[in-house]
Amino acid sequence: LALAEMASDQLDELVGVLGRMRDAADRLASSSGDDDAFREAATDASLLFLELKATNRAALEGVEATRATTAKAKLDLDHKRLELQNVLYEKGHIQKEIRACQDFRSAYDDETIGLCSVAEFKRQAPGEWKEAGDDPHAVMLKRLSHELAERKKLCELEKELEARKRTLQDGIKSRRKFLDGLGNQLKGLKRSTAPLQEHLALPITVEEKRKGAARLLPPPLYVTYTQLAAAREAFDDDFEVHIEGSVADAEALQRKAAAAEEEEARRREEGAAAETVAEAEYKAAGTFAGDEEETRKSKRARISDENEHAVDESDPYTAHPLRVELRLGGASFTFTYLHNLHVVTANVKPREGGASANKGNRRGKGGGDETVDDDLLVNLFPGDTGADTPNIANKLRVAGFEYDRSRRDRPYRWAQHLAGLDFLAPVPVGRAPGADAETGVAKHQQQARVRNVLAALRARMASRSALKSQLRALARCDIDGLAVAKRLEMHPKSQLRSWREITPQAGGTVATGDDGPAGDDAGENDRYREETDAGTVADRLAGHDVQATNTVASDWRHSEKNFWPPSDHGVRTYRALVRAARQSGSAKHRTVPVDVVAEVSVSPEYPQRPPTFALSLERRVPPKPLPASDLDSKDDSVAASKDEDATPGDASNDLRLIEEEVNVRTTALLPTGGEDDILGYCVVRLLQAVDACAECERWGGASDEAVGVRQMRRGRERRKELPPLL
Amino acid sequence: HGSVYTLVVHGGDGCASHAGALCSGGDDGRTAVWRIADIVAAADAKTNEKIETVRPAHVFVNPQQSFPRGALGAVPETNALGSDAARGVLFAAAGDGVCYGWDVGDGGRKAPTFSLKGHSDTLHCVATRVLANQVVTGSEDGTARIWDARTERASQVVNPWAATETSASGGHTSGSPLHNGDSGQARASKWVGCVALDAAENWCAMGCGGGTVTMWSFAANACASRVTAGTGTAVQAVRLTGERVVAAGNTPFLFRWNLAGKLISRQPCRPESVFAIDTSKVGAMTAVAGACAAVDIFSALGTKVATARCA
Repeated sequence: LALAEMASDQLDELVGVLGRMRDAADRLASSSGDDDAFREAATDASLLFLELKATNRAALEGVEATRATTAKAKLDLDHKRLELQNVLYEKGHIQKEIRACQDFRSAYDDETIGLCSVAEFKRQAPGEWKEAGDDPHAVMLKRLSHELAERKKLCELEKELEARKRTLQDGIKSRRKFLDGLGNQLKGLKRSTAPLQEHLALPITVEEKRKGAARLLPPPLYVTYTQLAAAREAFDDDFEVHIEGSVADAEALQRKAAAAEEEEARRREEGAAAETVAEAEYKAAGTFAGDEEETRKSKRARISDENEHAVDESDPYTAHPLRVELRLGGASFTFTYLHNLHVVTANVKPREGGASANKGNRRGKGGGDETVDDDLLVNLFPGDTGADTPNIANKLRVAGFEYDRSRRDRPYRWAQHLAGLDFLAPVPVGRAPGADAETGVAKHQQQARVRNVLAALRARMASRSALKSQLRALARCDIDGLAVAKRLEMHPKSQLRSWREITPQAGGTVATGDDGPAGDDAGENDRYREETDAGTVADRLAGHDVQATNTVASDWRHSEKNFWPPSDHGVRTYRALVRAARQSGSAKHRTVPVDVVAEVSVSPEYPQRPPTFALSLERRVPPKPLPASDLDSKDDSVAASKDEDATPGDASNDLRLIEEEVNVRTTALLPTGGEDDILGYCVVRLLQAVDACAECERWGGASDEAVGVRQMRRGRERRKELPPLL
Repeated sequence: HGSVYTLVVHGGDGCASHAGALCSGGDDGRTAVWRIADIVAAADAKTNEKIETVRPAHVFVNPQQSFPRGALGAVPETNALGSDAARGVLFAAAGDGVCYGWDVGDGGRKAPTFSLKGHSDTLHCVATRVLANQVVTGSEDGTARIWDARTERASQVVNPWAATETSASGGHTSGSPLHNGDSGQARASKWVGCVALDAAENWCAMGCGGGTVTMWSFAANACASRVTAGTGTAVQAVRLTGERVVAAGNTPFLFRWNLAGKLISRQPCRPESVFAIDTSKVGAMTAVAGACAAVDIFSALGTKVATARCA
């Protein structure tokens, strides 16, 4: 400021000097005629020059001084700036250091170190805690040192435990060595006891072998086997369970299956790898290659599929080499597992050497080849004909798949249940199985199946044996040979003249007997066939066709009400000829004996489905249709002579009544426990009914003689009273 | 309880009017009278789910035969009913050989109004000749009897099998025991399964077990003709329609004769054993029913037109 003032002062001075000089110049100019003034002015002007010179010098000196001052100040400024830069650099460095410290992360963060919590530390080391005071850093340091000490302690403990473990392991190893050796010793012991076992009839070794074989069984058969074996153990029952078939084959199959599984697993891994590669490619390409993807996938699926079923895909009936055999009484039931259908089939055959093998059994004596038929198992439970596979999946896999009915092994539902295979019934589209279906299945699975099945098998075999003995007696026309004969008070007078089987051959049965109504119709047709009037037969057949379509519908209705249709095979038909006993008084008719023909159908479900009798009169002379002219000229004598013959038309009411009596009422008249002998009861009842009809009068004629006050006939159909059965 | 053997309409000009009654008789020996009005009302009120039950207006029970020491015989079944709408009487042909007459208007009666006794065995059929106050019954004993309903006496005993007739006015009384003098002769005959009158009530057709139908003329008071359905057909149902005799029995055929006894047709029908034939007044259609769940309908010319099946 001083410099600036000084400079401005000098400037003012200079300006002042210059102003005075201009005045002097003006005076010089104005004093052109006046010398004095001119001189004075010149003197002044000279003085003024001097003054200007001095002032100029002072100004220059001032400038010089200012410059010097400025240079000095600049130097000073530069110095100061250098210092400032140093300080700033220092500050930045320190800040960076601070940030680095703040951002520091340890290789082990607090969580992984698992430092004990502050509270724990306070509890475990109270003294150190007090020492540390309130400084969190100090506390932390204390905590760390405490932790370190603790860890060291634990390491020592671990070492101790390791040592103990080693000693224990050594002990175990030595004991195991002993046990391994024990097995061999025991085997030797067992081998040495074999003669003893044989002597005492203890099947220990056999059982063991069987168990080994059981391990090779497919799961469903294993279930069957274990359940049956368990039932045998539990109830000490009189049946035997065996495993039949080639163990070697089963082992081979198992090995093959294991190999296939391994292969499958490997393939799946490869497939997964291939898939990732494919995906990568697909991404890299960035194009849509859906079709290719699909074909590749399907190919892979096909390959694996082929791999699984490469061996046996061709034949749906390929069976597992091992079978479970149930020997009960005189029959042996064989359960077979079919891989491809995933069903268990059962069949029955007479037991080989049954009598000798089961001498210890209580009920074995009743057995024998003749009680065992193919159809023994048909409809063992209502509606279980075994005619088709219960596994719906078979049908889906091969469209329109039908189980081959000519096979002896049949996939009965009870066999599946025994094997733990529960196939749900198909549910109509759009109706999900409700909760009640689930509870039904649950309930279904809690049934005592093995006992039920065994009881059913026993009952079926007992009734079949009873049926066979009755049939044998009937074939001999030996009424007294029937079990029922012992209970009769009075033997029927009518005779059984013949009894023979007229069951059509197997092929025919399958063709005609697809379902129940058809079988019934066949029976009706037989009856109609006896009519010689062509028009009648044609008319009947026309009616029959309509009826057949109706019966299909009605059959469906019946099945809704748990009606179980008869089986498709195994119905045997017999033709019985009964000669009615003539009353002693009616000597004049003795020349024409009346023979009643009964066609008896015995179903395999006997006795649940009782035998049915269809009656007709034996026609000796085929009657000619009466020509109209003959009718014109007929008179009493013609009618009377014709009347001597008993013809089926005459007796149709009577025959229908007897049929009703035998087929419907006799079942209700049975004494308890007589179910198995129902065929015998029915035959006896038939004879009794024929007796009663013959007693009253000639067939279709009026009463031969008055029989007291008692009413002999009742109702429009002229029903006769029948004596009580027993 | 048990089978229903017969069903007739009593009065009211048939089903067209609701005033009449439907009478049924059967194996339980009861004769039930149902008001047609009730049945029609129930049919109208019937919904799909519920079947309305109709109770009979009256029930008449055939009396049981009494034996010594208070024992009772079996209830005789009602095999046929005949209706006499003019007198309001219903005739029930019963299994004990007696035809009971019930007063339809008097529902509370325990005992029948009158009984026509004389047959020695089960009655199979009854027909009423309203205009002459006569009743014709057919019996298992092989005779048909023509009764005077006013005196309760048989005026004629006819043996349709032999086509002979005897006057019953002589020695017999209505209360005669079952085994009387002429029963031995009657026993040799076939039973009489059905009787039918023509619309004018001048003729009576009597079908009997031997396969014959005998035509009885009331005017001549004698058997006029006898036709045979061939051996083996026990006639169980017969009808007279104008100049035709329609009959069927326990063979699956429907026979037709003219009044002269000439066979017109022999048609197969569905029931193996025919128990009922009826003809319509208009159109002369014939319905045939029997031991089969179907009713065959034949035209006036004798051809089968339709079959109605009971589902």
